[in-house]
Amino acid sequence: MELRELISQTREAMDHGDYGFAVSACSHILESYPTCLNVHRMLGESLVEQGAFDPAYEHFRRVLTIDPLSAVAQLGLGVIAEERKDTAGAYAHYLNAWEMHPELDHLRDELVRLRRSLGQDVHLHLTQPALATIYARGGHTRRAVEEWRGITGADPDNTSAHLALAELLWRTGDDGGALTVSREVLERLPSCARALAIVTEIERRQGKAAPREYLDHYRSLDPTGDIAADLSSTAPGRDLGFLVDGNVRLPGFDIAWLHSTGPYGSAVDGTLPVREDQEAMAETNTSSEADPWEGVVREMSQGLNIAHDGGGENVVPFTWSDTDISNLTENDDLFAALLGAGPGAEDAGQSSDVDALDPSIQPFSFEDDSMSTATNDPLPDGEDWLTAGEAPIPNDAPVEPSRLLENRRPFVSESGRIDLTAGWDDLDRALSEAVPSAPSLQGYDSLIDAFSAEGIMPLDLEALDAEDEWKPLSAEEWEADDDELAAASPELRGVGGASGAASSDTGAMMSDADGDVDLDELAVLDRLAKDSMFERDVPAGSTLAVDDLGSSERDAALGETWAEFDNDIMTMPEHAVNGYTTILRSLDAEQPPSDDPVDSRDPQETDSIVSMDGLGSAFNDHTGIPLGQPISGDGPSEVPYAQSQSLPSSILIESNIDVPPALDNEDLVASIAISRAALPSSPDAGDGQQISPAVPDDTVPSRGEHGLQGDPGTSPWPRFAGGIVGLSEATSAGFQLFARLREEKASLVELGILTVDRRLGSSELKTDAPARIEPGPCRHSGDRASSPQRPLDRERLRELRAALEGDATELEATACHLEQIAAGVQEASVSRLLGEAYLRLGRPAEAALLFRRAVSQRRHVR
Amino acid sequence: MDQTLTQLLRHEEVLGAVVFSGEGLPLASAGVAHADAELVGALGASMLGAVDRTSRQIGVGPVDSVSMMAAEGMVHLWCGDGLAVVLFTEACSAAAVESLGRETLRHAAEMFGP
Repeated sequence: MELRELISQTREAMDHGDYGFAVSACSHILESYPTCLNVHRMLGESLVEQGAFDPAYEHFRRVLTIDPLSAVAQLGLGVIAEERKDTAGAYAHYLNAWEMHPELDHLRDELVRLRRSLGQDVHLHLTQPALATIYARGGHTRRAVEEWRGITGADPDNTSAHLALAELLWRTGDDGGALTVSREVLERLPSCARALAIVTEIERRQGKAAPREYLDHYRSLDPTGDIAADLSSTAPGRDLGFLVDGNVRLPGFDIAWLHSTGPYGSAVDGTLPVREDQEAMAETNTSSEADPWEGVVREMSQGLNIAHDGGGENVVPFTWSDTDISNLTENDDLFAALLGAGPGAEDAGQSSDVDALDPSIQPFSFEDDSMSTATNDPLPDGEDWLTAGEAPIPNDAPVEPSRLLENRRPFVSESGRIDLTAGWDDLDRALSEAVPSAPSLQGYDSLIDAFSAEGIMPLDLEALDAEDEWKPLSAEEWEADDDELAAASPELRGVGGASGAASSDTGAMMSDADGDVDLDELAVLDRLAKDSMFERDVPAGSTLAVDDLGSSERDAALGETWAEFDNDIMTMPEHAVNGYTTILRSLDAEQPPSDDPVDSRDPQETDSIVSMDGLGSAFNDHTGIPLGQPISGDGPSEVPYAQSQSLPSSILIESNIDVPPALDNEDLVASIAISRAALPSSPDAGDGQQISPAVPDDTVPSRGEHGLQGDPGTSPWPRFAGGIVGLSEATSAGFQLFARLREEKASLVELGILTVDRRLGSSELKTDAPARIEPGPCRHSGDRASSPQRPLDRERLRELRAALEGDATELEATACHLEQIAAGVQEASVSRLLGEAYLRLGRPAEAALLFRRAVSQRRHVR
Repeated sequence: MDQTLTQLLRHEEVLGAVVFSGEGLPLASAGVAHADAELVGALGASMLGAVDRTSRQIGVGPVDSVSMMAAEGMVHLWCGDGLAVVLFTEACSAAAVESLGRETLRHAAEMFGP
């Protein structure tokens, strides 16, 4: 039979819980392959499942000698140690296994559990071997090598670390290092299959003749090639197939017999039935090792008289499958149930005769320390697992925890007596030490006494009279001098509480007829605030209380202070200007848009002659002149109104101001829209017609005076003085609105912008309407007849515009022609062109008039 | 609106006209300077408020027009639809100005009304 096949069936039996079969099969395999790694591992697992921890322990130890990096063996040893109540040992083995497989979370949980039981920190940190394993699996071989080298340097006797380093070096291609380290391992563990595999593979790859003994030795240790397969998985490029013998058979193994006879067969004379072939195999078996299980069963079968299924005195080895413990509770005796003395056994009709047991044979107990053989003591009879040339099993014990704690049983004394009050004495002692002594409490008493010295006692609710304690405090209780209060803050007189008594009697103010104080909190706070205003020469660190001052000086101080306040609040600069007005005036004084009414561009190319429409009618005084423009020959300026010498926005202002000299045409063109020099104040009006500015009536003060005679440059708004708006204080000389309105209207009429031809209540046109200012007749009347009258269209206007660029003669002719057109056609473009002609002819006043007319005409059109 | 107010100025007695909102913000004016228009708007709104309170206290109902006779001239005020129109005129009959004011207010409501 193929070995692999039997091993496969054994694994299946273990998966199905048939550990008896597994044990038998493994035992049989071991007869042929006593050092088979895989078989020892399975056998150890099966024995652990069967509760045979001691033989299992031996098999697991054997596995570790063949493969120190076997995590299964470490786990098995950990289980065995835990069963033996060796928590520290279990932790050590589990830790070894976890260091090889840090990814196993359940293993990590077990470690945490054991750490908790050991009283250690439950936080499990990565150990250096675990870190090295993680590095290796993550591909960080260099860092893994460094870690392993560090481990081996710190612990030269750590065989598993050396082996891991050798394997890692072999994987990374460091054949020399792998060979060196592997040979070191083989010196300690001659049966280390992994090291043998590495050495053999390297030497074979290097062309060296691998020693045959290495190969045979490896095949005896790992006939199934498990380690070779594991190495190949980590180094796919390496060929390790030569290590595995393809034909591994088990001689003379009849699996059917094994199944027919049941687990371990049935003993007739107290011994296990042995087949003839098995006996022959036993004779030919080169291994002199005895099956430990057979020995144990043989010993147990001697002297046993267990009733079993009505049978005779047949001894049937114990199996877990024979016992149904599913119905047992925690209070049931497990051992008794196992022996058939439990309720389940009774129900099944089985009887147990514990008394019939040989007294020398004591029931198995986990408490029996004599059963523990977790040591490296050699086997009985000095037999060795291995051949004579093999070294004994080294003691590569796993890393011990930092603190090995013995089994603590807190309420059990050393004598074994249970004392539930254990430790309480220590606790009582600690508590008594923590209680402060009597002298340390004296400070609190003194503190309380200090508080109570001035009457500040803890509130005693029981002694509190509801009607008395919660009354508002009276003046007497405040210990205030009413007279002093009244004298100190006169305003308090008028600020009363509910009584509202405006009286100098502060006492009456502060309390009503019933004597209840109804304080005005604001008044009290006011008083306190005033008290804090006292500034005197007081020593540093000390405070000045109101009571420290005399009444007279307090009065004086308060009076002075309030007087200062009054002066600060009430006193305003006489010429303070309303900020709103200032802003408005500044808007008026701002420079108008750059697009002046006289667009320097071709008028035919733009529809808008005037760009002042955006100013809105509120800013329109029908003069065509932007508001807020100071009267000066320097053109527009942004002088704020408060600083201007005169009022903006009306040509009427000029009446009191010297007419500036006429500017040249270029300056006028540049500032025609905003310069007041272009106003019709020039004495040269062309035809001699004086366009004199409106001479103001002396009886009517100019606008520049804002209704305040002799006070130019002030706001039309009432003056803010004395803290109140001077509306009611305006004199008849101020705020001459109607006068200004009349002046404004007259100017509009004079400009020709406005025609007054109606009366209220009558639709009659006035016959005495003032003559409009008409432009002067054309000087070149002779040219009138020579120039044919063409219809006024854009092309015609373009021609006329171009004609203005000519010499003076042509310019005059064009101007005359435009005059004729303007007389018959009231169009803004015509007026504008005529105004431009007048400008070029040096008649700025007439030009300004026509420009304004153009603005008005365009506005009317819209 | 400018044309409407300018037409008012064509009357001999009318010296100036201002249209302002209920809050006293001038919306349009004719014959009145900018600063004066703002002052007139503010004062007019204040006057309307005072007149309205007075009329309610008296119990004569809401006020829609006010005329003041002063030494320098007359001030006429009409209000409605959140707007107000004030006309400054020479001493004349209030009835003669009534139609002008009403018409101006109607135009203002059409232009500035919601």
